[in-house]
Amino acid sequence: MPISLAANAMGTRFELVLMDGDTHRLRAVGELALREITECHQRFNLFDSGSWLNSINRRAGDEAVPLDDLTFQLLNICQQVHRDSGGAFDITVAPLMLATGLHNPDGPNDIADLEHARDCVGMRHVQLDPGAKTIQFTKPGVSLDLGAVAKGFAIDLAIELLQEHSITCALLHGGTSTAAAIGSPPDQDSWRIKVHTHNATQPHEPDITVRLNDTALSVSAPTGRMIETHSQTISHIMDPRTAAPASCGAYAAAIAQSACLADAWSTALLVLGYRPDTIPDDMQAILPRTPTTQTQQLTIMEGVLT
Amino acid sequence: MTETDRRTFLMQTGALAAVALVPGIAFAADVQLNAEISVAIIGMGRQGRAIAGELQKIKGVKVAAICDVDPGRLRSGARRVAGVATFKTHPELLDNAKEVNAVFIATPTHTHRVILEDTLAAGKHVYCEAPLASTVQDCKAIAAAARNASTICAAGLLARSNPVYKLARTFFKSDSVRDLVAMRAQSNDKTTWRNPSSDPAREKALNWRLDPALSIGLAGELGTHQFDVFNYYRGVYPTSIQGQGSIRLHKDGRKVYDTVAAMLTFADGAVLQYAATLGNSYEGTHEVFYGSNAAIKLAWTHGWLFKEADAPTQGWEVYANRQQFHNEEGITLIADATQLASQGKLKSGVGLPNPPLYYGLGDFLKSVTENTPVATTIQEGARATIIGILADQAIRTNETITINPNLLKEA
Repeated sequence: MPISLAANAMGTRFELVLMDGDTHRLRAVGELALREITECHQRFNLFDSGSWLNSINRRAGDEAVPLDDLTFQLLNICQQVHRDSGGAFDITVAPLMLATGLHNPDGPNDIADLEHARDCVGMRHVQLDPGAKTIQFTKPGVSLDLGAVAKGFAIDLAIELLQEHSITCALLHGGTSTAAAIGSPPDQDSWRIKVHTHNATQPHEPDITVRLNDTALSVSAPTGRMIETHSQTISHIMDPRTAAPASCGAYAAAIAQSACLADAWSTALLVLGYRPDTIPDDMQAILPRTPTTQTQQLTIMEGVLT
Repeated sequence: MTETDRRTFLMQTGALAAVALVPGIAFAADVQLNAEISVAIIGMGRQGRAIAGELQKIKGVKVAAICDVDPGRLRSGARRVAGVATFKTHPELLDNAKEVNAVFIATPTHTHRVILEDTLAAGKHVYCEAPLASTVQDCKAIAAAARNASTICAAGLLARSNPVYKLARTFFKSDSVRDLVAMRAQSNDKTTWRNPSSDPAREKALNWRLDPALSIGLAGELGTHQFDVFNYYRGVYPTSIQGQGSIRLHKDGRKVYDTVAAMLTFADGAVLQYAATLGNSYEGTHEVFYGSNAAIKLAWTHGWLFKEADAPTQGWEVYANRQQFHNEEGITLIADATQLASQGKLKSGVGLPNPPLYYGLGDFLKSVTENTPVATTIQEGARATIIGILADQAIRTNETITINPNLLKEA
């Protein structure tokens, strides 16, 4: 009998389905896996002043802050995707998000703040020292936002823990935008995930069914939080290369071994609008046939999570 | 001052007193140490990892060593602490990590005594997670070891370090609540309390909380933390406990109840109703003091004052931030309300900026580096633990247990 568990974290709902095993044990292992996610939420939450991420943001402008292996690994992945995406993925967008009002309940800050925020964006301001395992910002005002990658990273940790406990059949998703699978449901070769891509303006855009088996999928879209200004509506996706809202397509999806990499690359692909040559060979990219900016959503399919 | 005189005085000066009390507290400031310190954590389960996470945020603290008998937990812990030495057992850690000044003990409850005694004998300062022990005998032994130690020893009960609880206590003491009529505490969560292990041989050891021979149940493991809140506020312990429990949800062969209720009666007739369950998380963990003027609800990161309609209005209420709970309006208990209001930041003062654990660890580290008294002594921890153990006994036996005051004095 499948066991289903859920937890609220990172502003969304994570859902986990486990199959094939003693139900009491599956539930206990599932709780442990979801705890990895809530722990990641507590550590890397930009909106919690007491989080580890905000501790780094406060201190790294003044000193080299020692990092634990997990945090260093996460930031290293971010740096790598930043480099491979030509800067389309960048975790230093936090000041810009704040200045534009996307992270600020009181709305956009003034023009001076926006100009300063633009200056603070760029991984060139972040020094990761692999020897000393430290991080330091080279410019005052630099701040990290892991919103585009923390969900995937948390899912990776949870999947790793499930595997350590010999779980052979599981599906885990966060907010239906990032999912990872272990094995496949009984009598099937994979977990099937449907990505709804059609919308009012493009009713003929076909839905996509993604098959996951020991792989992960992440979908990004310019929907969600939007800000109205005097002249325009700004999407929550920023193009770090221009420090301005990205003019992106309806969605971008990435399939990879790691949910963290898929999460980061789906954001990068959305900003880029194309599959760059520098993307890792084993990364599968899915982009719309025609650009649009309408809603999409990811729905877990095939009966288990209905 | 007699009780009547105190009340008259407060009625005359109530508004002024409340306003004056609030800004005097350095509310929830970040922990600042005046010296660097090297520490170790023994036990890298959920609580050990939480301790590591909070220590990571405090500048000047170096977690030099960690230890866990479970290889998976040790490995997992090592990934979360920068440049740390790892040990399988606490004697290995104490023998080798000589640079360590202070040790945090976060192992299963029934193992605390031996580790604490060995750690104090090694000349280290100790912060021991609560409950301190699973037997009254071990509680007394731990209290004695701390008394005889030349180093600092603190109990991991967090109310006395929690800025929200410290602030709310000033309201409690200032007559905002007035005549105490009742008390209530609950600890609700939806969880199995079961720990899986990749190694089946380790499964039994990891599930000590579900082992009737070792576990002190929900009242002991969770209630202990809350029973200390009531002592912190009132300075007295209950004189008798009744209780009962059952297995409501997790019918997986366990013998330890997943749902319990207890009634703790005090010498003045006041009653604390305690309930805990692993089957539902509604309203989580909180404590309530009901008084003739108001009720205070404390939920670890937040606190509220719910006033009776006939309670006098006090000057500081102008600046209060309020939250609606169905038909009730709660005044959020925050410090520096006047200053925050003038800056238009009243809402940013609501709730703790860090988890309660952060402030508990910070208080202990300040005690060690500045040689100041600890926020929660081992003796206070031992007494709260004994109440928790006796509550568990009352629940298990479904009998009324009378508490011998000498038992608490001996701790």
